[in-house]
Amino acid sequence: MSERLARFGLPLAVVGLLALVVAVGPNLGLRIAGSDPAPAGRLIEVLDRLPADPAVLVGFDPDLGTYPELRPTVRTLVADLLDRGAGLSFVSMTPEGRALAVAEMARLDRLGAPRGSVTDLGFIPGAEAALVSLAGAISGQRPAAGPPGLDELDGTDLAVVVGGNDLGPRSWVEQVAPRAAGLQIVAVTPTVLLPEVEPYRASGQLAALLTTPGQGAAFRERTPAGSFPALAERAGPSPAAIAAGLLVAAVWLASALLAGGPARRLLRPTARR
Amino acid sequence: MRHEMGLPMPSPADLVGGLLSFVGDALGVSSFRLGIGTTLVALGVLLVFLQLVARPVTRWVTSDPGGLAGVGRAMALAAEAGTDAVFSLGTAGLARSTDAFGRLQTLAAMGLLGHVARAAARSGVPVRVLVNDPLAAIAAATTIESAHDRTATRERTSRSRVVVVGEGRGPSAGLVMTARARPAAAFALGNSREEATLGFEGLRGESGTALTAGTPEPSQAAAALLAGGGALIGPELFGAAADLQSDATERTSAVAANRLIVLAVVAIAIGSALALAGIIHPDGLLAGLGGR
Amino acid sequence: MRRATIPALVIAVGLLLFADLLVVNPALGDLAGVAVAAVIAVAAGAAIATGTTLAVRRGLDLWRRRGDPVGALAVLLGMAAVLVAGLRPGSAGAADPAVGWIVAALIAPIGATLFGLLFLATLSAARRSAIRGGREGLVLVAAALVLVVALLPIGGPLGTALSGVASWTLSVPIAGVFRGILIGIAITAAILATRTMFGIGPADE
Repeated sequence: MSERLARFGLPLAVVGLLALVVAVGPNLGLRIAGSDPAPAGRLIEVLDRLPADPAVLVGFDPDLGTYPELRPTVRTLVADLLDRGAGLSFVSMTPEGRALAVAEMARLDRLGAPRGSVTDLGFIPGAEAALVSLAGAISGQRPAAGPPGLDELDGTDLAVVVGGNDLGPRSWVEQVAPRAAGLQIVAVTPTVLLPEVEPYRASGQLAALLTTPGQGAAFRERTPAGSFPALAERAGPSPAAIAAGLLVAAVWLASALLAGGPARRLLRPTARR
Repeated sequence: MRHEMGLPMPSPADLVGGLLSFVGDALGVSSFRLGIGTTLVALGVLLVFLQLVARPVTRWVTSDPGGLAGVGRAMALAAEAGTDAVFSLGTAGLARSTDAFGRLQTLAAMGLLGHVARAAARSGVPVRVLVNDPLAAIAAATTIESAHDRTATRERTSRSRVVVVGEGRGPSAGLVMTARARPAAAFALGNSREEATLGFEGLRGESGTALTAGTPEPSQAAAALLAGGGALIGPELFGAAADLQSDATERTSAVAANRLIVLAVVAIAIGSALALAGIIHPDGLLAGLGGR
Repeated sequence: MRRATIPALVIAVGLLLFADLLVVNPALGDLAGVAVAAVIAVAAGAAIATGTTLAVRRGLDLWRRRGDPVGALAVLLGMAAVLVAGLRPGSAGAADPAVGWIVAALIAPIGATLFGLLFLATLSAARRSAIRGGREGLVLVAAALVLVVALLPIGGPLGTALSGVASWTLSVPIAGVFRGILIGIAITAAILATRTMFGIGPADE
């Protein structure tokens, strides 16, 4: 591949492709929700099996970098739970998670969430010790060590884990699930954690799991507007933007393989240093 | 027999009976939290390891997948270039709000820091250690001092330093991406999650610093492989120290892990065959963890 | 002679919490609860110590004009802004609007922007790896290319077919490999945890 072509041709082609996709994207039938609807269905089944006015514990520990990916799904899930009459208790065990939890609870209060439906359990340090303390509070087996309100978790019907930070669904399955028998745990995590949390969903240790933008979009499509439409966030990432990013990545990777002479190199023995 | 208060002393038989009664009552109100299957697996790990500790391993075949045995060459290059070497201990730390798995990775990387620090001390290369919590900083500083003690180069200790980059994963990635200094050798060993690619690219820099990257985080295995240079992925970080020094504890740990992995593979193969034949459902044995 | 106090404490607390994990017993649970509460208190102290240490180190860097003075000043100003906003008289603490503004307008966008660079960094690393020609890098990049195309959010029959390819790839070969890695990692981490719990360290440290 000539240097001039590599220097100017490829970038121009990529830009042209991007412009084309963005311009005609909505008319191409781009849709991210249809790719994998089963996980959304599983979560909705779990929510439908909840008793009336359920008590829901929200373990809110996303991280700043990946929360934009989860935000529309998390807000729609919270709005749906409030529509079902749920009492939500927010707790965080990481500093970033706590900062985002405070912002989300302030938003719920500002946009008209029912009074008394959201309880702030604050930030509990200690990582796994905090989770053990929570599990003890949920099962009523020992006095809880932590902020006020923790001793009212006895009778929690569902735990919703918003992951992405250092303490995620894996830690909840390891520490809370064995100690709080019968508690169902569902999780919303960024795509990067898909390979490590999917086995927990497959084994049933997580009752439901949403990890990709497509799964989140499918959940948002299937969730009715309910009594608090302002609390939900229906608009997710643009399918055209996702398609454009994937196409850029595909072109870039393909050009790299061509520049590297893959066929020749695959046949040549290489030793890992 | 009567003691001073006039009450009869309990006989040995009474004491034994009371003790048995206490133990019986305690067992009566106790139960297995995880179910018998999972409890046996957890105890099995302890038993396999402790049994090997009692009889240390003598035969060993070195593999060194990360290329850390050649760190002396990297230090020689750093000494010629007149720069320092950078060692990032990852972003889990020891006292942060992170899971135990991440903290164990920091502990495993601390041993590798010792190896690199000794090579650097011998070559007269200062080491800059990046951490994001003060407890890890203390442990890293102690490791550096110990390395200089062992190599009789205490006069060089003050040239190395430990940098606390700040809370969270973002500061660590931001620091290495924006730092102007270009070390001749860089090591990123420990827990790295979403920021792994940013951190590895930042440490490599435009000048192509020789980088050894390793993290047991399964979602970041590709990041370590794409970083170029030596890579430790999956469980390799935990076993790397066994290839670098003839320490009985490290090699015993590696052999214990290998035996347990073989047992796990055999159990998966047999369980899969039985499940396909419809004879048993293996997840029932692990029902203590909610498998269904 | 090394002091045995700390290792003995580690072994005692570790075995207590391990026993509490395996066995449900009220007395054992109460004792473990005391240990858990102590750990939470120590972790809270460590969190405060982390912030204090960072401020002191950056302050010393600025005072002695070493390292990155601009970065040190930025760290100190940022910490001061959040502390003043949250602790001033009449403030609502972490829920105060001023703290919320700092988080929403400064911290969150900076964090999100930093991780937005992952896209570029990953593509750069993949290209370099493919051009270098190592077998592992080439297989990785080729597999990524196939999956990237399969994940395109296209509707219609083509999109359904690509979605099926992506789902199968993620749930069969990729999930299989990841489960193997997860099992290996879990076992080696359990061994290291056992060593830590029993205070068995390497001979030369």
